Amino acid sequence: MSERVGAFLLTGFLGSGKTTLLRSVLEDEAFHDTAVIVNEYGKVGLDHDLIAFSSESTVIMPGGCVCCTIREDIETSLRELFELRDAGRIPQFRRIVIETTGIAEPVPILMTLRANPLAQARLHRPRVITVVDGVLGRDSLARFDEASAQVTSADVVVISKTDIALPEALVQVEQAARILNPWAEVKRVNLLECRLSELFVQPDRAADESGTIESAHVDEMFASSATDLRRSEHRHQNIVSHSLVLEKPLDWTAFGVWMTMLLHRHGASVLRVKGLLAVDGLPGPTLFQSAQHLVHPPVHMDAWPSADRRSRVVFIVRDLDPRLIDASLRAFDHASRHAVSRLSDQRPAGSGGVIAGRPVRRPTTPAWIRG
Amino acid sequence: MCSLCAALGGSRNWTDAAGQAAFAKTGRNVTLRDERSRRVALLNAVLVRYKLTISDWGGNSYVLSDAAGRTANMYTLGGIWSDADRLASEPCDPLDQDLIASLNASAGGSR
Repeated sequence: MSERVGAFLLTGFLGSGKTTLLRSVLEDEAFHDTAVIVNEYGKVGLDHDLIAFSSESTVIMPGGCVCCTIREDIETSLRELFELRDAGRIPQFRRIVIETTGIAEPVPILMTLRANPLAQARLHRPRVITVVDGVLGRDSLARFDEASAQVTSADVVVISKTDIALPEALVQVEQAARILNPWAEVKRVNLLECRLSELFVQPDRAADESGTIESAHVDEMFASSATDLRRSEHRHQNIVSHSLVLEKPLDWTAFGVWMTMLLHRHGASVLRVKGLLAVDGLPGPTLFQSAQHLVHPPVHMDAWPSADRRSRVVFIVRDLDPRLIDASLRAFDHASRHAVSRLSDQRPAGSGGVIAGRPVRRPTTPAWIRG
Repeated sequence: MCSLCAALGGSRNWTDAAGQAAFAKTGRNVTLRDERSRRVALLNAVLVRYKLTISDWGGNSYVLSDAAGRTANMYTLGGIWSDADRLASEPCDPLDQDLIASLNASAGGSR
């Protein structure tokens, strides 16, 4: 199997500067080996015209929005790219950049990449780069759900147009971005002068492939949100960032049932969840992450990164009352323990019973069935 | 696949503890059957609010039923809720204050 290819999802609201960013990176000689998938929205392939020169491996997806109607087209585009590459008809590429439309929600694309066998086998975990307009960003984040979803899913947030934006506007945009996503790296950049090639370099993290995350990374991840954890709630318009701290370890069954039910009913509003959970019976914490309906496989770690062994989870939700989230999780945890304690009073059907006051032992399952 | 009942093998879900090395390493290995019985017990405590019951079927799927005898079969925990919505008279919402109150009351706690 050939080496994995870096995957980058470049997103940002209409006119925020995605194409400017991508074009300057593609001009860098070191990034000529980049395949670009552009989602053309509407009839005018403006983005395509601007980056058509980048490589022959640009695949234009026919009209429509990436998020709902043509998810298969990302798969098709990916397959075509790899087929052409393997057949030697296009140069070898080391990374793929998927540039979304301004009004695309990134989660369905991430979901597509997660579920697609080709992407699973040949791509690194996708890294999401979101460009936010330094001038209009605060307004679009407040008004458009797509814009805020792009920021909550981001690994890196680039605030553009620093040359023409007022300093106060930049501060407000950055504050809004940090509330929506306390974990993302935030950069303020004038894209016309600064080339952000480093964003498209695959981070060298074992975590990406093996699913294990070292303590250092967890510390680093929570360092940025540590100040937020002290105050439990931040609000940006109708979006609330809420930090939930639980003193006692959680019952894993309860958390699974609760979270699947929560995401089924409110998945579109639960923009992002990220945190360390203290799970009953496990020596180390469990790293849980989700973005809307997309749940990353939880990582059960061997040891806690610090002396604080409480569950600490940040919920970024839209139009939901964080107090209810808190109360609901506690109620499920409580009910699960109670239900399980009642369960232990019951004996499995095969364990026998009492007839006329005398214990009756049923025949045990033969060893060859028990395995 | 089970040749008697034609049930497909259990599908993995992120909620599963059974078979996870982290749980096995603690010395208290979580068996699939144990995990599913705990899950069904909690689900029944939740679903009673919607007049539904759920049971484990053969260790690899769940059967959800209502009082009228309508049933639905699903393989994963996530799949339960859309069928529960269909069978119940109201949408299943974990943030429903009545549900939270009933769970706390059934557990006999004051929280």
